[in-house]
Amino acid sequence: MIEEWKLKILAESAKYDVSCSSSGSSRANDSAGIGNAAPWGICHSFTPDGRCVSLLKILLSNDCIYDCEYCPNKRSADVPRATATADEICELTIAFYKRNYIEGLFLSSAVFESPDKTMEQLCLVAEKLRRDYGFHGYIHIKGIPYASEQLVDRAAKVADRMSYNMELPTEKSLKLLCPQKTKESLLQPMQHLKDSITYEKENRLKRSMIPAGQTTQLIVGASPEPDGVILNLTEALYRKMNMKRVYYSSYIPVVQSSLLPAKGAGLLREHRLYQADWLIRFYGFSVDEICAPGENLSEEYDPKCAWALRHMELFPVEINRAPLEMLLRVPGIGAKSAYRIVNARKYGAIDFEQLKKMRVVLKRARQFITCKGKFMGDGSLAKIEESLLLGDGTEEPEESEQLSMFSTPELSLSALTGDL
Amino acid sequence: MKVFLCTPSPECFLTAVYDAIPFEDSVISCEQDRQIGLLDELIPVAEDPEKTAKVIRKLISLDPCSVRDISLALRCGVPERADMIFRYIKLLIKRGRPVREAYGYAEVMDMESLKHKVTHEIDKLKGLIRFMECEDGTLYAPYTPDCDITELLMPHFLARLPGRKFIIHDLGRHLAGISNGEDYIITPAGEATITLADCEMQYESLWKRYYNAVNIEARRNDRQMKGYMPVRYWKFLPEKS
Repeated sequence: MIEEWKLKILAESAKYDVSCSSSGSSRANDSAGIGNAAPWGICHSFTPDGRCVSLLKILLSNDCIYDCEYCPNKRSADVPRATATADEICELTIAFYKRNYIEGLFLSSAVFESPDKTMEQLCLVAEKLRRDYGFHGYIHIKGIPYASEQLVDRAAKVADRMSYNMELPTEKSLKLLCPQKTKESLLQPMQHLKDSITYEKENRLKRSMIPAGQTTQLIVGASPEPDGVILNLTEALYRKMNMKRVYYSSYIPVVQSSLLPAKGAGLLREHRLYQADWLIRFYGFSVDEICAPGENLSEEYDPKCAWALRHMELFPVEINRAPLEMLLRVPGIGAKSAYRIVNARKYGAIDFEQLKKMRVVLKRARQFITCKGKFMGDGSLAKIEESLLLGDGTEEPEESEQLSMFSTPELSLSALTGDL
Repeated sequence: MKVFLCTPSPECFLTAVYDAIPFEDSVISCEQDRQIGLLDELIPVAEDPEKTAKVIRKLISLDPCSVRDISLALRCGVPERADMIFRYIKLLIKRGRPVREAYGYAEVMDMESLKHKVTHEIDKLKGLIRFMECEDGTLYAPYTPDCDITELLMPHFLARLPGRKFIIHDLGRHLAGISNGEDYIITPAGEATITLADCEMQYESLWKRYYNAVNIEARRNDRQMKGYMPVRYWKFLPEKS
């Protein structure tokens, strides 16, 4: 059994990788082993930071040969080091899985000896878990940049998902803060995995590699790029790399460095990026509509509201006749509500009372819709803007605190309330 | 006003529907301790297979999904569910065709909310149920759900843990789902006394350690945590003890 001190070190080192989902893969058990993979993902617990725990997220080792500026486990840092054995990790995964604590394993590692050696060890752990321990649940393996393609393929055959963290949106920032990782070392294996999957699909082969696809992570606020650049990169990753998810992680100053900001980025910016990401993926928006390349997303309004306010000539729309695509663009009407409206109006015209029962957020939507020709919004644009500002409720002004010798990063950041 | 009192089982409820439909101002209730008015008449309903079958035939002819929807909604923990479903049935009969997606009607939205409560709790508890390993290898999980969902959880865990014996024990309703690894039954079950395996406390301790290690204190957001993981489910979570 793994010892508690080791688990603490290796889990704490892995927590800044925010990729948390256990969805996208449906693997049935062959009744000889344990576990299956649920395609919708299952959240098993939630930590006080509001994030879900669905996997055993752990490093194989935090003993790294690299010296990345932002990493608490960099070679020059004086921190306790630990390395787990394959059996320790497999045993812990099975024990937690049996007790319904987790859906599966998220395995990463610091780079020890060489990228190939590290990647090989990750493969060995995952293969042991599948073959010796009979595990049919979810496995997410972190890709190690510069590892050989054969090892990447080997990992992809046993994992449900793999990811390479881009961390920074431009090559310039990457060179500055993490010179060991180049753009090619991240994009090239992503492209290789995408090509392998496409090859299987086009040749009608049984899908054998990473059924849940790839994801990546971007740190927000550690480098100066605006949101427009981040969103353009996001859209390119979804389109060209068939990325399943792009995660954003607000920069938190875990390590003091002259190259890095002393203060955290705050959670609002990350929240707005996720909102924009959702609009791109589920609401039919393009990046140009949400944000220009050189700009940041609005702080006062969520991206959907901001777009609607810029295009008031398209509103109000009549609820009983507008097409689905237009309904999805109304602030206060989400995907579920739009679906309900489209179905309900087949039975008869809908009025405001019925919309309220369908859980449409009328406080916002009333500015942009008519029901049976009736309009219940405010007259002037200024009044509309004001009412949407008060109604949002997700932002609170961040209090900036002068850092002193005795401040810790934890004390100097205030967490914002908000849905994610 | 006539108040028809039935048990929460679908058969008894549908018998009550058969009895109550002819009366304009009738109401159906599953709650034994419901308040009744001075002029109300309380009519207990006993299950009648013939009446149940007639109602099922009628409902299926109107909407093939209706009986499944009704069984699901009956599992909900809301006290007024019987009457909400009854009003939905009356609407369905009045319209003469499926009304599942006629969200403009209050009855349909009420039915949606009942079904949603049940399915939402199932999804939540698939993640929040915690097993403990007993001496003989059986996995035991006590819990107190709002809705009657043990029967609906068993297939999920049977697929997840094939070949393993496990028990899911609904302490509030005194019933348990018991599986031998191949199949399962639902049976009444009172208090349980179990002997835990030797390693159980160590694994719980490792889990608590992991849970604390993985938290990012700088991003503390208790409101969000409680929104996703309601406090009423914390009783049986080792990480919250």
